[in-house]
Amino acid sequence: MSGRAVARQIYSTLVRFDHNLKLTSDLAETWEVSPDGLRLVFHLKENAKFHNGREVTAEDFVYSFNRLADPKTKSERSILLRDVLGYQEFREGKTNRLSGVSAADKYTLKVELSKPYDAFLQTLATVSFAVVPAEADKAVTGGQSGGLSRNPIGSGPFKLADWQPGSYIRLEANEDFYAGAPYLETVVFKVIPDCEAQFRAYQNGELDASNIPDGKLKEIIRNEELKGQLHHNDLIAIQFYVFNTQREPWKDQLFGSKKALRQALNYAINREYIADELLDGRYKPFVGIIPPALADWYNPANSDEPRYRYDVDEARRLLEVSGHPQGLFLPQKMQLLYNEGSMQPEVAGQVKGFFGDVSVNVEPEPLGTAKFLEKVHKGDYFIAHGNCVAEYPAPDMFLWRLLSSENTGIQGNWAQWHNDEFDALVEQARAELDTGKRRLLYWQAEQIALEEAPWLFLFAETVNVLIKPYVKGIQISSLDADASFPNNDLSHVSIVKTDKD
Amino acid sequence: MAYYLLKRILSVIPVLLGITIITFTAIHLAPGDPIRVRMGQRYDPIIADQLRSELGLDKPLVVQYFIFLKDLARGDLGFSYIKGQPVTQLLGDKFGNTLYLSFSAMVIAIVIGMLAGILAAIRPQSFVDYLVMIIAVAGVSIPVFWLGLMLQLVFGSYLHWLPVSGMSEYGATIWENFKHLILPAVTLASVPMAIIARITRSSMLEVMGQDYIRTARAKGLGTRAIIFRHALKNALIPIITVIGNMFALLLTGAVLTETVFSWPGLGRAMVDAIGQRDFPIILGSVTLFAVTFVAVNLLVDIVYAWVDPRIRYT
Repeated sequence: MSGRAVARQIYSTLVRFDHNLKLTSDLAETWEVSPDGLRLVFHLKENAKFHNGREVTAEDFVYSFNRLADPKTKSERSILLRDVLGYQEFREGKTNRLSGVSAADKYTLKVELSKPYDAFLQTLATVSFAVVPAEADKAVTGGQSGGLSRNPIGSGPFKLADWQPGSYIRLEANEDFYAGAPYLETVVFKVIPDCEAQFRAYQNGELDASNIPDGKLKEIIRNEELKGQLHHNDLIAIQFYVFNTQREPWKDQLFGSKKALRQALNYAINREYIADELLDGRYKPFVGIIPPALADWYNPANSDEPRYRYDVDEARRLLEVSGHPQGLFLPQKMQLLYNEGSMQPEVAGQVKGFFGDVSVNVEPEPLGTAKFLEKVHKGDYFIAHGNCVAEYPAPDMFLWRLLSSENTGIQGNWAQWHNDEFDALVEQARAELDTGKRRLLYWQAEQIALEEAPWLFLFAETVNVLIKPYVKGIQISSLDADASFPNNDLSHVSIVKTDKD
Repeated sequence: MAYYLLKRILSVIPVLLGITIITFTAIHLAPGDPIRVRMGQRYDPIIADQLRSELGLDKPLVVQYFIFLKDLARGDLGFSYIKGQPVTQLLGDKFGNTLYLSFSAMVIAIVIGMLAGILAAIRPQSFVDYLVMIIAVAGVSIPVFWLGLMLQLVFGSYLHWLPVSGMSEYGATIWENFKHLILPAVTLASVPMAIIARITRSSMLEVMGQDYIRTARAKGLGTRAIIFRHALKNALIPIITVIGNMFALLLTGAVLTETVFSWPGLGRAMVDAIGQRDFPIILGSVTLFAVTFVAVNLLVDIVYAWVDPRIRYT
């Protein structure tokens, strides 16, 4: 279960994504963006109320944006406001509010940016930008401040009714929801961390929707009853391994690039085999950075003519070019770190085998989250597993966040890869207002990264969930990473049971 | 007795100090930073430093430990680093859930285990005796998680009689509550039930051979009176020892059952907290477990005196 999914039902944002990932209205009835992309004006709906009964106004958005940016809030997501006018000054304590966010009147919100940012409007659809009532946020309950973390008050279709940490969260319908009361009276999010246990509870009729355990997908497809309950979609998410480019043997030298070595290993693995045989078909082989599910931005050439295919001869040739014929002069054992979790041991084992075929030795090393992040933070690894699941459908989630020099280190660029041309193209793309030109800039940047191979490119992810046939109205988008449906507005969902159910 | 009790209660203090020092040292020696876990891929060094300072993680370890002790003395276990809620509140509910599950399992284990042991002891080498002992050996040998999964498959997936995950929700009927409890409680009860059955059998067999039992038979007492009034009370001491130890083990050992049945208990919370390096939750859970262990042992000692008046404490 994702916390985002629960927050999505309790809170509202200015805009949101429909199941086709098109921006649609939430609390903003309409909005305008100035031709230079620097000014955004939102006209709010006039009938929206918080769960405490008070009307939602533009001032509430001003408060909520300031709350996110405020250094006192210590939100790691404040970076999403990086391009809003006055953000740096506010963060540095030179001002006490975001100068770029203001209420023109009760129902009009103005946002000014310091420079254009193509995905800003999309970030506003994430729950980080949910509107909250100041009085509930500042409320002191039981002698403790931070009222919203215990008693969330939003303006979304559902209200918090009961929360048993580690057990379940029960929401009940908000009868005053601006778009009309939801069909469902109650929604319960159960905390069942073990996917197998989820599946058993689903089969026993205790859950209306469930994730699918590793290795069960093919079995479900063969099962006549369950097959009809299976919902599948591409996810805006990728899996890859990063080469620590600041460490030997991957580090580029003054008189020679190690690009050939990194490319060699990209030729050495059979992604199709791993995906089909081991991963139940839930991951798709993918050599690229912008995943296919990000349809408006995806470069189809990455499917038609992938930059790397399984080619052992080419891998051996490149190893020779890089000065490591037969794996010569490479460290005897290089750790391949991965965070213990879904299917990772199997993938790491296969990669070790394929690398072994070209005489490169790696040693898979599973670690718990805390230890894994510690090692990544210190740069104490040769190769590490990475993944990225998009919160909003924009290419900068992948190219800028995972590979730009600005995000070097634990923030995203774990490969610690630096390429001035790539950085310049991505920065230019983020500020480009013409969609066609922006797409080309991102594609150029992606090609540089593919050529330089700071990663071992692996897979694009899919989402597979089970939903009971009597549940109507859930439309799975490429942002719904699991069966808690973080991109779905559950107010449209209903349960229509027949005698069979 | 009062002096003994006071002495035992005071002896908890050095035990707790020792346990907290070992736990505190171990969690700080282990690699992994709770702030990094909390911030994940959105790690920002400036915000991380602010958080460290706010949570007191920038202070020397000794100072951090004494702050923990000072708060502990006031019954305050601090705030969870990850969830931001008071540890006492978070663990209170979970400890209650674990107690509820363990206590129910213990009742099942005692009632069925002792009855089975008595039945086996009344007719040694009979079919009933063999059957009880085979089930007892199986009970001890079968891994708890496997038994849990099998019970889920049979009573959940195939028969659809009982729920297989979590506790019932707030406001559920007593029957709903009970239905959620049955499978995890029976699973957790399997090992202590088997051990209690075996101990009861051997203890009863020993007592049934005593002269006073023969005398009781000779004066014409019925079997039921002999067993429950004479034999069982004398056979109870080793059984109580086992029950005491078992209960403490059940509390701490419930984590597997809690995981299989998604039961929101203390064991699962502690395992999750270790993965996330949520120090206050780890320390809080260990302290709670330690106090419970000591309390149960103390209770067992007191019950000895009640069962066997020959035992006196000074």
